[in-house]
Amino acid sequence: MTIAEWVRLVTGGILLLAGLFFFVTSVIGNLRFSNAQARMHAAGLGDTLGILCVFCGLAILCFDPVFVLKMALIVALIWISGPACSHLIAGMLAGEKPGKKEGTRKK
Amino acid sequence: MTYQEAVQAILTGAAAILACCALVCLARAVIGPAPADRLIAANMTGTQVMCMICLVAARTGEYGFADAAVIFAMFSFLASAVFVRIVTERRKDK
Repeated sequence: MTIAEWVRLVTGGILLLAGLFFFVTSVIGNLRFSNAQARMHAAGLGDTLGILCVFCGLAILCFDPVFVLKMALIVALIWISGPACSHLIAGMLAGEKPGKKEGTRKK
Repeated sequence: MTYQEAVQAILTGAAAILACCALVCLARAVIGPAPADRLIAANMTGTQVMCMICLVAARTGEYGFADAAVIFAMFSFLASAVFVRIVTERRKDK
């Protein structure tokens, strides 16, 4: 292997390992935490940082422009839909109906 | 060991670790006492499966597999929104 390939391998591998570390941490938190809000917090770790690190490592290890664009699209989708989903779950925990909050809409 | 072989070994190991994480998460979704716990665990499983799909796509060299992960990301949000709606409707009926 050349020097450039070694550099690619090491940086990509470190990023991939960091992402796996965040995923394992979020799984352990999801198993050990006591209530649903704390578990939601643990799930958010893997959903944001873990997926970003894994995809960055993957983009460095095997670069393909279309593949990288698709992974960026997945990260964008997760980052938009994750907070919305957490909001819905929090509303469910608080016992209110989704989308119909008193005071924000007429009737 | 060439570059390609080293990358394939790394990707296989990472996919195996992620598969173990997804299985543990699925166990949480089965035993979780409240509906919210199940929903959170199912969401996490979905994210990990998306990562696994991309890892396997890079491992086999068939980059088109990533399309499946994009669709998965769209539908997992739809599924959780519908799940929340069903739970709240059922609670209202009681």
